[in-house]
Amino acid sequence: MAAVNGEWGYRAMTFRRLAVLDSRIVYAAVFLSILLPLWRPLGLSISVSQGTFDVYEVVDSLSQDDTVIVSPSFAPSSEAEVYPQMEAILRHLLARKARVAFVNLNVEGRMYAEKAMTTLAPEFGYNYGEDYVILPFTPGLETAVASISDDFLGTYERDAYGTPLTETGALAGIRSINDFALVVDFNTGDTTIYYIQHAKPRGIPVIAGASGVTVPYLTPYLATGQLSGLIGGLRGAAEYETAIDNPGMALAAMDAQSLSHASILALIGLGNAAYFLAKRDDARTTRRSRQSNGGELK
Amino acid sequence: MKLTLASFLTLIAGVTVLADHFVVVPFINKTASTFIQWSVMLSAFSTALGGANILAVHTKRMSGKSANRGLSALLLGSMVTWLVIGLKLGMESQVYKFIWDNVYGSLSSTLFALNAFFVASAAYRSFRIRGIDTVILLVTACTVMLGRTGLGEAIYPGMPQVADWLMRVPNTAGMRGITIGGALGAISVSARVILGLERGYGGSERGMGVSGYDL
Amino acid sequence: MSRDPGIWTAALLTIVVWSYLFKQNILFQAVEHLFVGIAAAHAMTVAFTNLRDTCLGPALMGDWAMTVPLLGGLLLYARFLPKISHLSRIPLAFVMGTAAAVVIRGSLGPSFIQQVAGTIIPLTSPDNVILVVGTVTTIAYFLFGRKSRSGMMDHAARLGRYIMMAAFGAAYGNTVMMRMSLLIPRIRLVFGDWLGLLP
Repeated sequence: MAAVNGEWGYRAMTFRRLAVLDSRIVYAAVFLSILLPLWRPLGLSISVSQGTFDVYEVVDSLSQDDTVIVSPSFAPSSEAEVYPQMEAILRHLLARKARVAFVNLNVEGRMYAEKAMTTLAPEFGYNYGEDYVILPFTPGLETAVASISDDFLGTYERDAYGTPLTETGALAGIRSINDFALVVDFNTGDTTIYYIQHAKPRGIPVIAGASGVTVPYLTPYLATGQLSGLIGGLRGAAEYETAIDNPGMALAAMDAQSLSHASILALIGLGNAAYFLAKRDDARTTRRSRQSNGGELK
Repeated sequence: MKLTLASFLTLIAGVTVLADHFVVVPFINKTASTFIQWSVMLSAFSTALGGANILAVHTKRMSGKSANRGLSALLLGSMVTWLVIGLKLGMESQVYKFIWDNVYGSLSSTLFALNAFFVASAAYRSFRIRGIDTVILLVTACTVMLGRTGLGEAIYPGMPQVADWLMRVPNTAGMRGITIGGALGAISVSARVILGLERGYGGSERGMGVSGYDL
Repeated sequence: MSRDPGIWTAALLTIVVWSYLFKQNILFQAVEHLFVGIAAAHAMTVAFTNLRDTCLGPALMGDWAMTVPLLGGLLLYARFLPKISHLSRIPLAFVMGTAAAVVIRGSLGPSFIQQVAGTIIPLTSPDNVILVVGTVTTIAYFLFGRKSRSGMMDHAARLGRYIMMAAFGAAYGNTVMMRMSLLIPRIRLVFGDWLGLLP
């Protein structure tokens, strides 16, 4: 009986050890699940969802008479997800010949606007000032969006480089936010909600590219039509790249995304299996100990 | 409730901006717009204030006998150097862009990417099925994770639609409840701020009246 | 292997940050402080540039309206001078009043009334039923979850909790997606752009 107890005790201990595996082994598993598909891509295809088509339709309905607010409201901490979305939608906007005003609600916004347009402007024949303009950082988040919606020209007299807006052709004819055809916000926080709260009531449609974390908080606004379209996370970027037929960095990363998610699912499964087996064996060991000691637990 | 200078300013600013939303009176509308624009500018001052605070804290730490003096020196050195580059050469200069791309961008994204490892570790250690709540949590989480990848689509072609439905219906229902509750909370706290009943942001229990001056 | 100094810098810093996964070390602490310093300097540079163009410049040109925020902004810095630190609360109070009113303006219509209106829909499909019941029971959980111990409200609150669990599960799935998305370019940078090992 003692041998049996020992055997069960050993198994319980093994499962318990598995349940508290060294973190570094977990880290290595995640690391490899990303590295391997980058090294040997699996070639998994993805379909384009209705949500992405909705965003595509809104952008596709624009013409060269339209001026659009593009708001890069994200930071390097979410660049990997949101920047590919911004690049894909900007490509589409520029292909539609829409004029673009970059509104920067955080300190990093201007750098992303410049980075994107350094590549895209020559490709689409866009000139600074004439076809697009980068506006200065506007602090205050919700108050800033309220200010822009309330009095656009009062908030901005000059662009990010100090040139008076009256000298930039891109914003000729813009007197208030009502003169813009669309707001496209790329966010990691609540900025899209601020645009919905302050710009949308003035009649401007709002669409968003959001990081995965913020997508769940935006779906109530999507359901009521306050948000006209939403693409979320790296998958959203990859779908938009597919929709505009321009495969980019998001699509290339989707295999790694697949396997990394699979590794998390496997870890959750393994952790639960180890936990339940250890618990079951603990119970068996206790029961057998009790039986061998005549009902008393030692 | 005691009407102090600070709470009077809060009241005036709050009531004017709020009134602007409901009435069309040119004087009120113009004043509210000006107040909002001033507030935006004051926010710019407070953005710089954050940096000034860091400067003050680490300068103090350097002058003391802290074991981390070297690290504080590194922080201050990098801060002052980049600030000088930014103000002298401008953000569009090559040096500024080099540091932005390869140091700031790289460090920021890698530091946040560390969370990927911690999320995995937490999933392995703590995501345990302990009741119906966790079963629901686990099933929706796993479906969304699979539905957002090509692998999920390869296993079952309808997986993205299932994940979309989860986001569109149960998630929207839950988040809408939270949104409505959050909006009610935000409105009530804001009303308390305007009325001077909530003055904790002033830095003390008594609100604005610190350091002997009841402002 | 790359010859680009930018890629070398980024890759080496990435490896130093990853070293934290094995053990806390001085190099990690150093780059952590470097990051805070640079982040603060960037925020200050952007804020100074903004103030120079939108506030200080116009004030010096004689736009008297700009002297008010300029003075208020300078008062914010009074917190560093113990004798007059209380003055920093004057501009703060103004900002708080404006921000509170802006929050009410924004939340009342779009986040409260329109969301309530969006829940008043015909119960003609299972999706609509889940949306309506889910929203109502989630609010019931917040309002009655702790107080009620029996009766219909208790059941409603419990159902609300299940709906929230589904929402949090979806949020968790999206969070995992985000975290993994951040790691992919870092691994590509080190093994691809720097070491040249990836296709």
